[in-house]
Amino acid sequence: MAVSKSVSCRNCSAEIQESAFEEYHKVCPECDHHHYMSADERLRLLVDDGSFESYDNGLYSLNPLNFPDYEAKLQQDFAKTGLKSEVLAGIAKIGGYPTAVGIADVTIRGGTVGSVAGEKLTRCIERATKERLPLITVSVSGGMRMQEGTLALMQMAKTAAACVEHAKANLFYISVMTDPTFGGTTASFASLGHIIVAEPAARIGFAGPLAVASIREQLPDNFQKAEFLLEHGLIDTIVHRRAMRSLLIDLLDFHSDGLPSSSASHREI
Amino acid sequence: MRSKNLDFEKPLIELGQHIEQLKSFAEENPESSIAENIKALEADADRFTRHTLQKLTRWDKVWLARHEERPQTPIYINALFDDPIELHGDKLFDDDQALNGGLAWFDGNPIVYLAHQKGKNLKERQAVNFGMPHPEGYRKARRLMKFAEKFNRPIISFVDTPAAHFDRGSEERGQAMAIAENLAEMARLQVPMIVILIGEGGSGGALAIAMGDRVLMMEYAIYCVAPPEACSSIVWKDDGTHAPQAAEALKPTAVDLLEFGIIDGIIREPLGGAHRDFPMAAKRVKSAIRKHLKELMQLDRDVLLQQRSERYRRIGIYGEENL
Repeated sequence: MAVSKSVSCRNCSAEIQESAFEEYHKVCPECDHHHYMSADERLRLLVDDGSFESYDNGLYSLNPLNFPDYEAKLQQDFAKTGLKSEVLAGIAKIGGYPTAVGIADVTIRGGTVGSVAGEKLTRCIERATKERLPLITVSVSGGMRMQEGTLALMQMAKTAAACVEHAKANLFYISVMTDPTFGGTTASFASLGHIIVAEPAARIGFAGPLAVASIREQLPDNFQKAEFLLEHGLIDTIVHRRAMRSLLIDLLDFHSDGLPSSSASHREI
Repeated sequence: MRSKNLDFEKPLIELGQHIEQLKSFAEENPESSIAENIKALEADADRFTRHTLQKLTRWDKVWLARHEERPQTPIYINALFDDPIELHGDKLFDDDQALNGGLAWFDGNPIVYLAHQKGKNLKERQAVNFGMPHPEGYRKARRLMKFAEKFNRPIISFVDTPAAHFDRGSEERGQAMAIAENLAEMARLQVPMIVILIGEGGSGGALAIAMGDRVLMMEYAIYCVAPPEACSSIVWKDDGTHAPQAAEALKPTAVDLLEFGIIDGIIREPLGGAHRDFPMAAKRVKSAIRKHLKELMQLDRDVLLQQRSERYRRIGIYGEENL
């Protein structure tokens, strides 16, 4: 018999059987800490089985600024994760509702957004507009990517403009913010959802940890956590990972204009 | 803060002073033949200055953009516009002094202006938070954008900020949301918007009032995703010691950004920088605004929006293979 492996909770150090860790969607059964999920895992958690059609995986990063070591660092990240492309984007069904989805992955340069992620998200939003679909993005990002300089900064403008076109067409956008979501990502498309949902204790904010370290005032314990944002009226709701899919289906249902929902049993995952 | 003059400027300034001395000597001693030689000397000095400026690194240009004597937004507004009327506050919470706006007349036509404020001395700088707006500054800018749209007036936006402010209050009051909402506002704005980067274009704090139909940069302005010092800490994981390398790597100068299609034009500065001859700098900015405003005001609204949309849609450099 194989020895069952265990993982250690990043928050409370509880030893969790790997099988239980997967079953709980990487949430610690002891302290409820929500651990990182890959874009693929997130996709499996949220969308109807086998319904995802991915797009634009042929996009790849160049080094337009000739930034030192950029290619090597990217290669390292891709090699480590086995990922082929950053950001999963496509169309899936969620509770039967066809939906455009863009899901980030934190492993490639900390989920920072450069030309590729910006372009992929923009195409995803445009596809939603063209096909008159609701849009869901799941953010996890260290902000805009340093190694692509001002080109990366401009992805804020590009994605925000695409969100505006989507909204103008009276289409519905849900932004899911997960740990961590920072900088230009929070300051562009992620904050433009009609509804903004966060996972419990997700770190969300504008200023990154280095900037925050230089703040000389007393900060509350939950500073830049999802609960802090909820308390200050900046996000709509916080929902546990196990209830995320169910909430998304309800929200899509609310906006569906009588489109058929797949089944009444969507409240169970 | 560095000393008033940058290292590369010192010999240029000394040279200028020597020439001035020679000039007054020549005036006092008309019998000497010095006056005849001064013209040639001045031409030589210009050549030397040009040569010095050509050799500037991107890090030098970062400091030129932050130069203590560099003309700031209030002096541009006074030089370019007639009868400016400042409009205060976001009508929600506060009047952020780091980002001002109001209405004014340009060539007799009403416009709405937006402008970061950096301050000329320590007292002023503290009052305007060193040019770093809180969310209220961006919300003030947004309400002025809506105001401009309602009354069909073009917007002229002057960018000069190290960054958006970060502190407890800014996070509590949604700095990121305020910036995101401004981007959305500028994407759908029904009136023309011209942006002029006059000094520092610091990341989202700059972009939040800089998503215009035309984005112009002063020759020695910079525009980057993070200040080189912060980039150094993030990428090189140090205390900012790689800032010169970061400045080089970030490609934040006007020439770099024109090449990337991020800006639409460069406004040449007087020899040595805008602070060496402000009237000349202002004159060039004025003629640039005049030219672009004329073009934009002639466009149908649909065409204006279409062009703006395409302008931002294009930005990004990546590869793509067919899978």
